Amino acid sequence: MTSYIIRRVLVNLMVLVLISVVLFGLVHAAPGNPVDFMISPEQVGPGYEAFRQAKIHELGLDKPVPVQYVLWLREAATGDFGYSFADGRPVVAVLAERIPATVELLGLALVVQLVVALPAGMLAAMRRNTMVDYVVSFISLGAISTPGFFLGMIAIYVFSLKLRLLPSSGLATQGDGSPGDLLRHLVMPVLILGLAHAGGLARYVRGCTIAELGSDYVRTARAKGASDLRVMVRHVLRNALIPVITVVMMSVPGVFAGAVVLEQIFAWPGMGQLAVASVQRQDFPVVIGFAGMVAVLVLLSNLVADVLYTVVDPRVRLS
Amino acid sequence: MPHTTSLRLIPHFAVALVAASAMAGCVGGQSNTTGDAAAPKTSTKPLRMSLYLKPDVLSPFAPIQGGNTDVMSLVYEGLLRFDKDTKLVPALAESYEVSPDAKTFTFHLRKDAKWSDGKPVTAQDVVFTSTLYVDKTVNSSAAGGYSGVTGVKDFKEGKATSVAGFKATDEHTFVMTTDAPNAGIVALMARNPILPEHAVKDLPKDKLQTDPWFNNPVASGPYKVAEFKPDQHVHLTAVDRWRSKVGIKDIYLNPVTADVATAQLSSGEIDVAKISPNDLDTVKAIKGLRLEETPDPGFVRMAVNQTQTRFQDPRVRQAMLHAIDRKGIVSSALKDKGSVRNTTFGPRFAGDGINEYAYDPTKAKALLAEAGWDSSKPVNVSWVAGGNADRDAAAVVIEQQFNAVGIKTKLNRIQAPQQLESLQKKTYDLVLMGGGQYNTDGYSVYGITGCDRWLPAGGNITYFCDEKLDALMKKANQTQDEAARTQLYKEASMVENAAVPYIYLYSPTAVFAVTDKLKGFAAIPTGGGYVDPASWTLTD
Repeated sequence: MTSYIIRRVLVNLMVLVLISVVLFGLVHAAPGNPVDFMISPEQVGPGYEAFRQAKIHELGLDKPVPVQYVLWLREAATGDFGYSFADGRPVVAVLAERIPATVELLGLALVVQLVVALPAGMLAAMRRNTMVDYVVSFISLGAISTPGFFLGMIAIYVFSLKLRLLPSSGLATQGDGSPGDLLRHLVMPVLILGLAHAGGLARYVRGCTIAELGSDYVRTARAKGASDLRVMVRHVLRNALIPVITVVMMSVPGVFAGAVVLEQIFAWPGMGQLAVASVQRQDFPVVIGFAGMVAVLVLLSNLVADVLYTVVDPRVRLS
Repeated sequence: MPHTTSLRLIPHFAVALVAASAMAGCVGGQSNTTGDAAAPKTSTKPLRMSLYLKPDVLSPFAPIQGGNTDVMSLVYEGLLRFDKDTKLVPALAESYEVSPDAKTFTFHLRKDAKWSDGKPVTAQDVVFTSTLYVDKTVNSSAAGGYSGVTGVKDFKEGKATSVAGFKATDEHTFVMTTDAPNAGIVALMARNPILPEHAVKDLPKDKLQTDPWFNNPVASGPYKVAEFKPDQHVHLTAVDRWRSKVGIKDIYLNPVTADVATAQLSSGEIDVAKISPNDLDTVKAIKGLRLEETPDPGFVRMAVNQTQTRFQDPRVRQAMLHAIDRKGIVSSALKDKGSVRNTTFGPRFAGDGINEYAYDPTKAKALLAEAGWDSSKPVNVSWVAGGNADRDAAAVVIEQQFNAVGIKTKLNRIQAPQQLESLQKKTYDLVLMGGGQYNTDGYSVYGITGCDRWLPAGGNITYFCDEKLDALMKKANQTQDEAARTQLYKEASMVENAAVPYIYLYSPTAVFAVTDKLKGFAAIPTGGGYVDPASWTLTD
């Protein structure tokens, strides 16, 4: 098992280096030059060319791309992954500053997703082809087919503008920031992100549970007189969880991507906002840092899913 | 919906409680221990404003960025400042004189001016800061403006250790001299803030554009930075014992998109936001807000690449003006929040009776025919799409109306760096763009029309040249008397208006939605900063 994990980590590291080469190439293939984004074409005047050249040199953009890549690798090895063109701070510091807001949003959304989807999916499976099942299916299909940003805009319109129940955006009210205020700001983005992804998961849980309900061990458990609840929680849930874990882990990058869009709608100062702003001003080091982090997240989710299998189902042996 | 109001009441209830407890401390009425009884009360309620761009660093040496400029206008001061009509008025300097030959400029500093750390502002601080603006190591994008100052060239080339043209003759007098008459250079004093020598001299010069010191600087404006978290907000708080009463204690500036700003205005989460013409109707329907309009001192125009022979005949450019229904663009794309422009000169310098180039396709066709226009060769109109809805709409109208008169037009959406590159390499046909500030000082027009101001020596991106116009401009800039100078600029604007260096389109009017509780608010459009923030007041 340990050797399996070590092997996987090594393979993933190689994949990461490849990804970084591709990212670096792609980002530098984009037309234009980040320094030109710092100068408004509407404000060019005497001295701007000298400024431009000095800045290009300062940021090392006058070196060939492969040389820039090697220099970047060296900085990556020291752990700061280069410096942001925008404010000169290490990329790691720029990203780290945004992580809490995004993790808060994602973590809570993931909890909402599980708390809603697990019971709903299992309930639909137990009451298969009844009204309960239809309602759950209808709602989950609705959630799957409605984009999060659309739900977000509707929610802002209804709950902030019309009912004036919740703040429309941001992390906190300026000049407030009490726990109650922070909580009120969390309600809409967390629920929307969580519920939007709960739909797909509920469908999946339902399917897995139905498959398990037909198994011999369920019949045996029932024959021994176990209650419905005990059968579900003690027997079915555990078995149905195996594929569900994969789905949840694989959905983490998806939820992350969803958060990028939702962060724009709710002016949430997280990673997504940073990524979009950095792309817009061609802040290469931050863009690469962000994309690299997503790559790590994808690879890590895969790895964690594989390892979790063995925990949930001791029959699975990694070799 | 009575049940919904209960939640909204909580913060108000809290405010009431705080207010009540504060009252309890001063039973017996108006006694005020600070002794400032005559001045109006400073509002303790914070003012919450939206920023259209996220600020990154509040360094005056960094390239101009609208988000930074907006915040910096509340924290820093120059010797002069702009009022809401973009005229120059005193700030750190209480007065200034220009010598008759327009080569010596004497600024008298306010004696009560202090830095936010309590130390006095001196003329030596002005010399120090001005020298930094032209220092090669600092590499400020503002350096170009000072190129006419005596001794700047020697200083840059290392032949001198100081700039001969910057002098502090006593503690409160700063004198600047230029090689040639240069009445227009005064405007620099409103653009570039002054910094305290005692605090800035220890910072590394090559990092002055990004040094985090600037995000909590010692400055001379009415506000200081309490918290700089540009992702969430910038929190400013009034400087203690500033030289006059500051009306509002705390200001929060919040970078949000236009959509979010409109939503937050509506839900009462912010008090001030610049709004786009598309949101006008939504915002008008919100109670408790008023609209403050400020005409933009710049204008939206098309640069025409006059290195191409086909664009060199002025009749072609005049025909382009006649071909476009510019009034129609103002009413449809700007919802009438703007005006048609017919000269680069701002309204103060525009001559009376300039040609208005009314929408007249027949005349446009006639002018093109006279000039021998080849309608088979296509014309590319490029612009940075997606940034301003009005420009996107204008581009589409122009394509249609150019084609109608026989200018075979293709639209070309580009990115800002591509725009800069095509201007530099002269590979463009027409570029639609905006900006500029041509209302404070008529000579600013020279920067984009002068024969010796072709890119990269200046901002003449249209590669236009008219000796007669240049002669008039130089004469005006050498004239010290303001009325005579303005008259010369008016004459120049007539020449410019006939020569059509740019295809003038319109000046948008900046519209700010402002809560009724805020009094005295004024701003310069498009990242030009705010005007006299100390005089603003906010009622509870």
